[in-house]
Amino acid sequence: MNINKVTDGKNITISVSGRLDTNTSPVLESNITDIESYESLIFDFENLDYISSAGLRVLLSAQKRMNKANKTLSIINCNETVKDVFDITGFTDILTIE
Amino acid sequence: MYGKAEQFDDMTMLEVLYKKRKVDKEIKEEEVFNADVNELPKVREFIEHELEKCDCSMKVVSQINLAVEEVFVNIAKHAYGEKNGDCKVKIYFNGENTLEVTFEDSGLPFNPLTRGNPDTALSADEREIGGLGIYIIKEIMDDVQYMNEDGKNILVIKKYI
Repeated sequence: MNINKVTDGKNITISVSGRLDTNTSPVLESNITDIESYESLIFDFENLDYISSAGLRVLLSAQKRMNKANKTLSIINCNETVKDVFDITGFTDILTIE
Repeated sequence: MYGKAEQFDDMTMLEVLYKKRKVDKEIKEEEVFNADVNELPKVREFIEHELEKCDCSMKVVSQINLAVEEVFVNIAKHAYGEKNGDCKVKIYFNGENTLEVTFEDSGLPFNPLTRGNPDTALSADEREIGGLGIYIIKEIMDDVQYMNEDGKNILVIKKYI
Protein backbone atom coordinates (compact mmCIF):
# COMPACT_ATOMS: atom_id res chain seq x y z
CA MET A 1 0.00 0.00 0.00
CA ASN A 2 1.12 3.53 -0.78
CA ILE A 3 -0.26 6.77 0.61
CA ASN A 4 0.08 10.14 -1.02
CA LYS A 5 -1.23 13.36 0.50
CA VAL A 6 -1.91 16.62 -1.31
CA THR A 7 -3.19 19.65 0.55
CA ASP A 8 -3.75 23.36 0.00
CA GLY A 9 -3.85 23.89 3.76
CA LYS A 10 -7.63 23.87 3.86
CA ASN A 11 -8.52 20.66 2.04
CA ILE A 12 -6.64 17.42 1.83
CA THR A 13 -6.68 14.62 -0.71
CA ILE A 14 -5.24 11.31 0.38
CA SER A 15 -4.60 8.82 -2.41
CA VAL A 16 -4.33 5.22 -1.32
CA SER A 17 -3.02 2.59 -3.70
CA GLY A 18 -2.61 -1.17 -3.46
CA ARG A 19 -4.26 -3.14 -0.69
CA LEU A 20 -6.06 -1.84 2.37
CA ASP A 21 -6.09 -4.97 4.51
CA THR A 22 -5.38 -6.18 8.04
CA ASN A 23 -1.64 -5.66 7.59
CA THR A 24 -1.71 -2.23 5.93
CA SER A 25 -4.71 -0.52 7.54
CA PRO A 26 -2.75 0.51 10.68
CA VAL A 27 -0.42 2.49 8.39
CA LEU A 28 -3.32 4.47 6.94
CA GLU A 29 -4.70 4.98 10.43
CA SER A 30 -1.44 6.52 11.64
CA ASN A 31 -1.46 8.80 8.60
CA ILE A 32 -4.84 10.38 9.32
CA THR A 33 -4.42 11.51 12.91
CA ASP A 34 -4.85 15.22 12.02
CA ILE A 35 -7.72 15.08 9.52
CA GLU A 36 -10.03 17.25 11.63
CA SER A 37 -7.75 20.21 10.98
CA TYR A 38 -8.97 20.29 7.35
CA GLU A 39 -12.34 21.45 6.09
CA SER A 40 -12.59 18.52 3.74
CA LEU A 41 -10.91 15.20 3.26
CA ILE A 42 -11.04 13.29 -0.01
CA PHE A 43 -9.87 9.71 -0.25
CA ASP A 44 -8.84 9.02 -3.82
CA PHE A 45 -9.10 5.26 -4.35
CA GLU A 46 -8.29 5.21 -8.06
CA ASN A 47 -5.41 2.80 -7.50
CA LEU A 48 -6.84 0.93 -4.56
CA ASP A 49 -7.23 -2.71 -5.61
CA TYR A 50 -8.62 -4.27 -2.48
CA ILE A 51 -10.27 -3.45 0.83
CA SER A 52 -11.17 -5.72 3.76
CA SER A 53 -13.06 -5.11 7.00
CA ALA A 54 -9.85 -3.74 8.54
CA GLY A 55 -9.86 -0.94 5.93
CA LEU A 56 -13.57 -0.33 6.47
CA ARG A 57 -12.91 0.18 10.17
CA VAL A 58 -10.41 2.94 9.40
CA LEU A 59 -12.85 4.63 7.01
CA LEU A 60 -15.78 4.45 9.43
CA SER A 61 -13.67 5.83 12.23
CA ALA A 62 -12.49 8.70 9.97
CA GLN A 63 -16.10 9.42 8.95
CA LYS A 64 -17.22 9.53 12.59
CA ARG A 65 -14.42 11.93 13.49
CA MET A 66 -15.15 14.24 10.54
CA ASN A 67 -18.87 14.24 11.37
CA LYS A 68 -18.11 15.15 14.96
CA ALA A 69 -15.86 18.03 13.85
CA ASN A 70 -18.49 19.14 11.32
CA LYS A 71 -16.11 18.56 8.42
CA THR A 72 -16.66 16.59 5.22
CA LEU A 73 -15.24 13.34 3.95
CA SER A 74 -15.72 11.89 0.50
CA ILE A 75 -14.36 8.98 -1.45
CA ILE A 76 -13.66 9.16 -5.17
CA ASN A 77 -12.67 6.83 -8.03
CA CYS A 78 -13.41 3.43 -6.42
CA ASN A 79 -13.09 0.37 -8.61
CA GLU A 80 -15.85 -2.28 -8.77
CA THR A 81 -14.20 -4.61 -6.25
CA VAL A 82 -14.03 -1.89 -3.62
CA LYS A 83 -17.54 -0.64 -4.48
CA ASP A 84 -18.93 -4.16 -4.00
CA VAL A 85 -17.54 -4.28 -0.47
CA PHE A 86 -19.09 -0.87 0.30
CA ASP A 87 -22.44 -2.11 -1.05
CA ILE A 88 -22.45 -5.37 0.91
CA THR A 89 -21.66 -3.66 4.19
CA GLY A 90 -24.03 -0.72 3.78
CA PHE A 91 -21.09 1.71 3.62
CA THR A 92 -22.47 3.10 0.36
CA ASP A 93 -25.20 4.73 2.47
CA ILE A 94 -23.04 6.11 5.27
CA LEU A 95 -20.06 7.37 3.29
CA THR A 96 -20.10 9.93 0.51
CA ILE A 97 -18.91 8.00 -2.50
CA GLU A 98 -18.54 9.93 -5.72
CA MET B 1 -37.09 -11.66 -31.49
CA TYR B 2 -37.78 -14.41 -28.99
CA GLY B 3 -36.02 -16.95 -31.21
CA LYS B 4 -32.95 -14.76 -31.39
CA ALA B 5 -32.75 -14.42 -27.65
CA GLU B 6 -32.99 -18.18 -27.33
CA GLN B 7 -30.17 -18.69 -29.75
CA PHE B 8 -28.03 -16.29 -27.82
CA ASP B 9 -28.73 -18.25 -24.64
CA ASP B 10 -27.69 -21.47 -26.37
CA MET B 11 -24.44 -19.88 -27.47
CA THR B 12 -23.77 -18.65 -23.95
CA MET B 13 -24.50 -22.12 -22.63
CA LEU B 14 -22.05 -23.65 -25.10
CA GLU B 15 -19.39 -21.19 -24.02
CA VAL B 16 -20.01 -22.11 -20.39
CA LEU B 17 -19.76 -25.82 -21.17
CA TYR B 18 -16.59 -25.30 -23.17
CA LYS B 19 -15.07 -23.30 -20.36
CA LYS B 20 -15.92 -26.01 -17.86
CA ARG B 21 -14.27 -28.69 -19.98
CA LYS B 22 -11.14 -26.60 -20.16
CA VAL B 23 -10.71 -26.58 -16.39
CA ASP B 24 -11.85 -30.03 -15.35
CA LYS B 25 -8.88 -30.66 -13.11
CA GLU B 26 -9.53 -31.27 -9.46
CA ILE B 27 -7.45 -29.27 -7.01
CA LYS B 28 -6.75 -30.45 -3.50
CA GLU B 29 -4.00 -28.72 -1.52
CA GLU B 30 -3.33 -27.83 2.08
CA GLU B 31 -0.81 -25.87 4.08
CA VAL B 32 -0.29 -25.12 7.75
CA PHE B 33 0.32 -21.55 8.92
CA ASN B 34 0.98 -19.90 12.26
CA ALA B 35 -2.27 -18.36 13.41
CA ASP B 36 -0.78 -14.88 13.23
CA VAL B 37 -1.95 -11.90 11.16
CA ASN B 38 1.59 -11.47 9.86
CA GLU B 39 1.16 -14.79 8.04
CA LEU B 40 -1.66 -13.35 5.96
CA PRO B 41 0.50 -12.55 2.89
CA LYS B 42 1.65 -16.20 2.85
CA VAL B 43 -1.90 -17.49 3.14
CA ARG B 44 -2.95 -15.21 0.29
CA GLU B 45 -0.06 -16.37 -1.87
CA PHE B 46 -1.02 -20.01 -1.29
CA ILE B 47 -4.68 -19.41 -2.16
CA GLU B 48 -3.96 -17.19 -5.18
CA HIS B 49 -1.51 -19.72 -6.57
CA GLU B 50 -4.15 -22.45 -6.41
CA LEU B 51 -6.91 -20.21 -7.78
CA GLU B 52 -4.81 -19.49 -10.85
CA LYS B 53 -5.20 -23.15 -11.80
CA CYS B 54 -8.98 -23.10 -11.90
CA ASP B 55 -9.58 -20.27 -14.34
CA CYS B 56 -12.19 -18.42 -12.30
CA SER B 57 -13.21 -14.80 -12.83
CA MET B 58 -11.39 -11.88 -11.22
CA LYS B 59 -14.51 -11.22 -9.20
CA VAL B 60 -14.48 -14.72 -7.70
CA VAL B 61 -10.74 -14.45 -7.00
CA SER B 62 -11.18 -11.20 -5.11
CA GLN B 63 -14.21 -12.51 -3.19
CA ILE B 64 -12.30 -15.64 -2.12
CA ASN B 65 -9.29 -13.52 -1.16
CA LEU B 66 -11.47 -11.27 0.94
CA ALA B 67 -13.26 -14.14 2.69
CA VAL B 68 -9.94 -15.90 3.33
CA GLU B 69 -8.50 -12.76 4.95
CA GLU B 70 -11.56 -12.29 7.15
CA VAL B 71 -11.61 -15.92 8.35
CA PHE B 72 -7.86 -16.19 8.87
CA VAL B 73 -7.61 -12.88 10.75
CA ASN B 74 -10.50 -13.89 12.96
CA ILE B 75 -8.70 -17.13 13.87
CA ALA B 76 -5.35 -15.34 14.30
CA LYS B 77 -6.87 -12.80 16.67
CA HIS B 78 -9.19 -14.97 18.71
CA ALA B 79 -8.57 -18.73 18.50
CA TYR B 80 -5.58 -19.06 20.80
CA GLY B 81 -5.83 -15.97 23.01
CA GLU B 82 -2.29 -14.87 23.83
CA LYS B 83 -0.80 -18.27 22.95
CA ASN B 84 0.61 -19.38 19.60
CA GLY B 85 -1.10 -21.98 17.48
CA ASP B 86 -1.58 -23.29 13.98
CA CYS B 87 -4.21 -22.86 11.34
CA LYS B 88 -4.47 -25.41 8.57
CA VAL B 89 -5.85 -24.05 5.32
CA LYS B 90 -7.18 -26.46 2.70
CA ILE B 91 -8.38 -25.57 -0.76
CA TYR B 92 -10.55 -27.87 -2.82
CA PHE B 93 -11.90 -27.34 -6.32
CA ASN B 94 -14.05 -30.15 -7.69
CA GLY B 95 -12.90 -29.45 -11.24
CA GLU B 96 -16.29 -28.16 -12.23
CA ASN B 97 -18.11 -25.50 -10.28
CA THR B 98 -17.40 -25.61 -6.56
CA LEU B 99 -14.52 -24.00 -4.71
CA GLU B 100 -14.08 -24.79 -1.07
CA VAL B 101 -11.65 -23.38 1.49
CA THR B 102 -11.42 -25.03 4.91
CA PHE B 103 -9.77 -23.58 8.02
CA GLU B 104 -8.87 -25.77 10.98
CA ASP B 105 -7.56 -24.59 14.32
CA SER B 106 -7.20 -26.21 17.73
CA GLY B 107 -8.04 -23.09 19.70
CA LEU B 108 -10.97 -22.36 21.96
CA PRO B 109 -14.20 -23.79 20.58
CA PHE B 110 -15.92 -20.90 18.87
CA ASN B 111 -18.56 -20.72 16.18
CA PRO B 112 -18.17 -17.31 14.52
CA LEU B 113 -21.44 -17.77 12.65
CA THR B 114 -23.43 -17.31 15.87
CA ARG B 115 -22.33 -13.69 15.98
CA GLY B 116 -25.19 -11.33 15.13
CA ASN B 117 -25.08 -9.33 11.91
CA PRO B 118 -24.31 -5.61 12.11
CA ASP B 119 -27.26 -3.33 11.41
CA THR B 120 -26.27 -1.96 8.00
CA ALA B 121 -29.15 0.51 8.02
CA LEU B 122 -27.70 2.66 10.82
CA SER B 123 -25.99 6.01 10.22
CA ALA B 124 -22.20 6.40 10.39
CA ASP B 125 -22.43 7.83 13.90
CA GLU B 126 -24.55 4.93 15.09
CA ARG B 127 -22.59 2.17 13.37
CA GLU B 128 -20.17 0.28 15.57
CA ILE B 129 -16.58 0.03 14.45
CA GLY B 130 -15.86 -3.62 13.80
CA GLY B 131 -17.91 -6.78 13.59
CA LEU B 132 -17.95 -6.64 9.81
CA GLY B 133 -15.57 -9.47 8.95
CA ILE B 134 -17.91 -12.40 9.61
CA TYR B 135 -20.78 -10.57 7.99
CA ILE B 136 -18.74 -10.04 4.80
CA ILE B 137 -17.89 -13.76 4.67
CA LYS B 138 -21.56 -14.72 4.93
CA GLU B 139 -22.54 -12.21 2.25
CA ILE B 140 -19.95 -13.03 -0.40
CA MET B 141 -19.75 -16.82 -0.05
CA ASP B 142 -22.48 -19.19 -1.19
CA ASP B 143 -22.21 -21.47 1.81
CA VAL B 144 -20.44 -21.18 5.17
CA GLN B 145 -20.38 -24.01 7.71
CA TYR B 146 -18.86 -24.43 11.14
CA MET B 147 -18.09 -27.73 12.81
CA ASN B 148 -16.31 -28.71 15.98
CA GLU B 149 -14.67 -32.09 15.56
CA ASP B 150 -11.94 -33.77 17.64
CA GLY B 151 -11.35 -30.54 19.53
CA LYS B 152 -10.90 -28.59 16.33
CA ASN B 153 -12.75 -25.59 14.99
CA ILE B 154 -13.48 -26.26 11.33
CA LEU B 155 -14.87 -23.53 9.11
CA VAL B 156 -15.72 -24.30 5.49
CA ILE B 157 -16.48 -21.57 3.00
CA LYS B 158 -17.86 -22.45 -0.42
CA LYS B 159 -18.25 -20.56 -3.66
CA TYR B 160 -20.10 -21.86 -6.69
CA ILE B 161 -18.32 -20.53 -9.73
